[in-house]
Amino acid sequence: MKLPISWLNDFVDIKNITIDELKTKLFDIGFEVEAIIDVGREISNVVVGQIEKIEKHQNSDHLQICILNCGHFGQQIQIVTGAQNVFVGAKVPVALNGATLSNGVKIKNGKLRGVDSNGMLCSGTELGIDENFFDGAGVDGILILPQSTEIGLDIKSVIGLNDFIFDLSITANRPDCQSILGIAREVASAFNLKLKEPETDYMLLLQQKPAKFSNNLTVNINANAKEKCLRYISTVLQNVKIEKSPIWLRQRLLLCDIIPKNNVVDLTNYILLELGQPMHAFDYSQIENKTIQVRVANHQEQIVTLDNKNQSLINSDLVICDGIKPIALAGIMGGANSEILDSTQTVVFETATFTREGIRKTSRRLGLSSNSSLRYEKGVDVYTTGLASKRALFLAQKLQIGEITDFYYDSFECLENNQLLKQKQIEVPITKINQLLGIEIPKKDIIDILNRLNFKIEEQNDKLIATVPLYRNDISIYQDLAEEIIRMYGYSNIKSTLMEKCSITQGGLSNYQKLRNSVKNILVAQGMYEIKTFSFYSEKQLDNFKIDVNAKERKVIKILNPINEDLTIMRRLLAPSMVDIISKNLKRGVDNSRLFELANIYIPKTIPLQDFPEERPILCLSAFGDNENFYTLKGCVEAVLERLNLQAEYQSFEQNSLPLFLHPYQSAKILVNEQEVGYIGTIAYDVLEKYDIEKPVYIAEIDYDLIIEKFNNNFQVVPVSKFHNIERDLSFVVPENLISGEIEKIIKQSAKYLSKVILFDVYKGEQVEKGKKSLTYHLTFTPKFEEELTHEEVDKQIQKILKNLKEKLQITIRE
Amino acid sequence: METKINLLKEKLNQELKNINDSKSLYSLQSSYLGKTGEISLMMRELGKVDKEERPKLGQIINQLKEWAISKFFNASQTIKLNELLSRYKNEEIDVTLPAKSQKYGSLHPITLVTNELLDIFTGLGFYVYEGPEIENDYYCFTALNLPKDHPARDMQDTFYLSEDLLLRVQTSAGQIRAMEQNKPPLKVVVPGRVYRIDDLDSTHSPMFHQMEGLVIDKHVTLCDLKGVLEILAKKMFGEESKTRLRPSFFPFTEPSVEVDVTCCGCGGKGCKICKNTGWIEVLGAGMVHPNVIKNAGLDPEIYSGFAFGVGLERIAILKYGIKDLKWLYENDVRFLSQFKI
Repeated sequence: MKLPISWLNDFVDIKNITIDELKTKLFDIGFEVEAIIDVGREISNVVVGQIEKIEKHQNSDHLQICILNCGHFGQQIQIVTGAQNVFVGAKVPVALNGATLSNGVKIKNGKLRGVDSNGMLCSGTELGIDENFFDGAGVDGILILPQSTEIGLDIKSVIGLNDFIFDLSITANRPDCQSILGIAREVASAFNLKLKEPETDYMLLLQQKPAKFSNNLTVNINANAKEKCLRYISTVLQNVKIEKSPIWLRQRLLLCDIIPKNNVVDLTNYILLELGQPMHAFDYSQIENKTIQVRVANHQEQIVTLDNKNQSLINSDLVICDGIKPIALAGIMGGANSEILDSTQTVVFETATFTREGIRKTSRRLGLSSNSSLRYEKGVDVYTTGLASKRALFLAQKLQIGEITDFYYDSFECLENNQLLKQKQIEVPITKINQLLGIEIPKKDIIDILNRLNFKIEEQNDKLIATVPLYRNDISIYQDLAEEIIRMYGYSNIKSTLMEKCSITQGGLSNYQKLRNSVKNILVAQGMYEIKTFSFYSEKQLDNFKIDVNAKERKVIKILNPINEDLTIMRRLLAPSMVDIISKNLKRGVDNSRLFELANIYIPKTIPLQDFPEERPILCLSAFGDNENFYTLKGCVEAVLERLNLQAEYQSFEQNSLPLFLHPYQSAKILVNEQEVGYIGTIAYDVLEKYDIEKPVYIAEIDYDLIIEKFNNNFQVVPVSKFHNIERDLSFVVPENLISGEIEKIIKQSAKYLSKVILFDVYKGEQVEKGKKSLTYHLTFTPKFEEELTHEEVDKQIQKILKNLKEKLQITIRE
Repeated sequence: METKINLLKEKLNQELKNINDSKSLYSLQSSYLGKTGEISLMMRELGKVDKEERPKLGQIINQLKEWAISKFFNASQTIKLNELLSRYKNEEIDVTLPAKSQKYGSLHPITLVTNELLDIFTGLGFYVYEGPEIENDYYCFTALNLPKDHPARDMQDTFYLSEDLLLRVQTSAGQIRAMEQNKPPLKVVVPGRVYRIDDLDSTHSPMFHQMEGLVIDKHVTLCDLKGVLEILAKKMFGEESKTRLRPSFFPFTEPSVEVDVTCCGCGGKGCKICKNTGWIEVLGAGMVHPNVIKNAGLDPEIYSGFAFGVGLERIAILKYGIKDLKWLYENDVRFLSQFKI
């Protein structure tokens, strides 16, 4: 919110407070000053001068030599100007030697066609202002100042540039502070200064009975609108002269980024800024049947708003109608049909409390917002509505915009709806406030702070009864009071304690959480980098991965309001995110690495989603580049399983279950205890092509919880024998297409004492016949506890192995 | 005889000089001390000598034998040492060649920050609850005292998956669930992914990480909140860090505060990172709103508590000097590989 300091000064005398003090105090009580704007920061050394004499320049047709009286800055300053609108006696802005102007222009003494020119006469543009900001600033030529202007004054004080603006951030609970008055109240409380309430007594100003108008307008609020319109006030101004607003008012609007329009519209905007109450002005002559009605819109009812757009309404929108048709979209924008025009003679002011929810809904639906709707969305209170309607009349009278009439419709009076104007009371023992804060704030300080904040305080023994100001809808429980007290008393008074009065709790990570850290660390030890990718992607990623339209990975949760077409579905497969990251790394020249991600997939029970879906953590591992191969990644998978004391089996996919994004001959299902827990494989080349990847990529996904469930950390040690192990090597020549897993399985099934089988050599070549390969296994036999294992026993076991291999696979030992 | 012995000694000395490997040494040793070796033969010939001379001569030959044994022993020591040295020499390598060990990877900075925070809070008696990322309106908003017309519920901020289900916009959604599952005294942190409608840029991301903290007990104060967060600041940003509370607003806490920590870039003097204020905003916190306690089925007249929510990206950015939030989601290995901590 923009806060011109000069305007703030209307309500609280801050002349003795520096900008920095003000900023710090506002910050301490909850209002962050995001920026301080020095309005005239670009302008320096420009003063008011009067032209004493004008001579023609000898060497130029258009240049004139002016002699200026700038008071104590010099009474005979010679300046050459090209402007034609200067005249003897004119008061003008004079940029002296060393002056700076708008856009960083610097002025130095010099010569113009041989004649000394000790400065420059300035136009409005050169001072960074326009006709809206100051009369005469828009003319083509020098800014001619009013004759009453004092010679030698700093131009900034003359044209309204000697001001500061605070850009404040206001938290959502303080709509009452979205105005100059609101901040003034806070400043007054914080510095313990007196607040000058805005003047509203227009009757006093008027000093006579207002003009009669009463029977010329009827206002009513339809029952169906009462929920969205809490208060509605109409007033009427007649014999209005539509013209420009005075400079000071225009300047205040401009400092707050509102462009002046005419005195009536400017007045409503002025009230909006000053009190935080949006207002609207109708041209009475356009109101048919002399009736104003507030009601919900009919389905598909049409209105052309002030921006000349046709809006089609629904019955949750609120409209202001005359006897026939809608004339405004309540709280958002007036209708073009009742706009204030230069010809307007009678104005009907609307000051109303519309609920923020109602305004937001309509504003969002239509994509239509205004200063008014933005303000309503923050929240307007019924008290301010009453205050603002009177303040508007006061200013209208003061500015002589028109003639105040006796017409004053207030829905509160008609509806006797005044419980909204009844002040809330909060009862609280002082001890409760201090218990919540943890420090002892003396009672008198508490009462003093609340009084300064406009709470009325009654003491009852140790209890306080606080009556809440009407504009503070955010206060309803004692905790709210505690916050008011501590922010004024100072958060720096809060000490640090460590839950001294709390019970001891055990805390700590669960076994599941500890194990997860351990698993991640195992992967890091395998040279893997952990990545984090978004939980959502698009169907296109699934297309790239050739996921079948009927596959489960397509049964995904859709985001109803995605930000863009790339983030539309909650993923059920991590691989596309992984491959995307690999592609980006390769493009940046990282051509070998290992990555992993442990993240959830989201499995809907129904589509469209009705119930909470299942969120399952999946471990996705990958390796890419020429230094990697299927087995290096398999090693990473095994490292995790080893950590969990699990053994996996790898089974090729059946023809119809092979995921199409995998290499058909370098891919497998991973099984643990005969349950499928994931897959591993080389990414298919046509998939890689979609990601512009030319290096091989290996990937595995494991259902993390499935393997964790199988981990048993509640084990008892198996005693070991003091006798030594016996090791044997066995070589076989087998058909090339026979997979090692088959042989290993039979070896393991056949022998006792066998603790380890490791394939350590695979040979294809001259030494074995074509179509065959040689496999060599290293077998370790381990004796049982307190037993010795003999070579004879091991020989017996080897014989069993060889027998079974011959019977089941028709393979024999290599001689 | 003596001459013969002296000659033999001289010969042995000469022959030993030419030996420089254990194999030749062994055969030389055999030629003197072996069964048919010269000294052994001399011993055997002793029988042929006169009885009177036999003991004396025997002693001499024995001395010769012992002399030879020690000679060979010494020679073998030297040769073994030389052989070892030359073997080492032959096996000389270039120690500056690259290592062959498996390179170490690293954890993602968000994981590192999470782990560090969990370490701090588990040490203070907090347990770790991980709630669902897909939440319903009740847990994410209603139960947290966000009224129906609160701006945060707007489609503008929240990804909706159905009328009721949505991607949680804050880990605060875990507060009510944690309170429902465990009765007070309760100390819990809830780390995890959260989602908001924001395009990815240097300070925003549609998905990011938060950690919620919640303490519910009979006598919890705002001072306790400050004490706990001060520990967080000191452990995360150094012992000399200071903490400042200032007023703020969250619907689920009252009073609500913003917590600032002295800038880690300048120690509070003012620099570019803190925009010359000396302070950096790190998290939002407050005393749990009685409506929230009520919504969890507890009596706010008996129980009070504090809660805080910290953005983990923000902590990572401050702690590691990450200048652009996007880096955390680009997953560039050249970036990730720096986090060996």
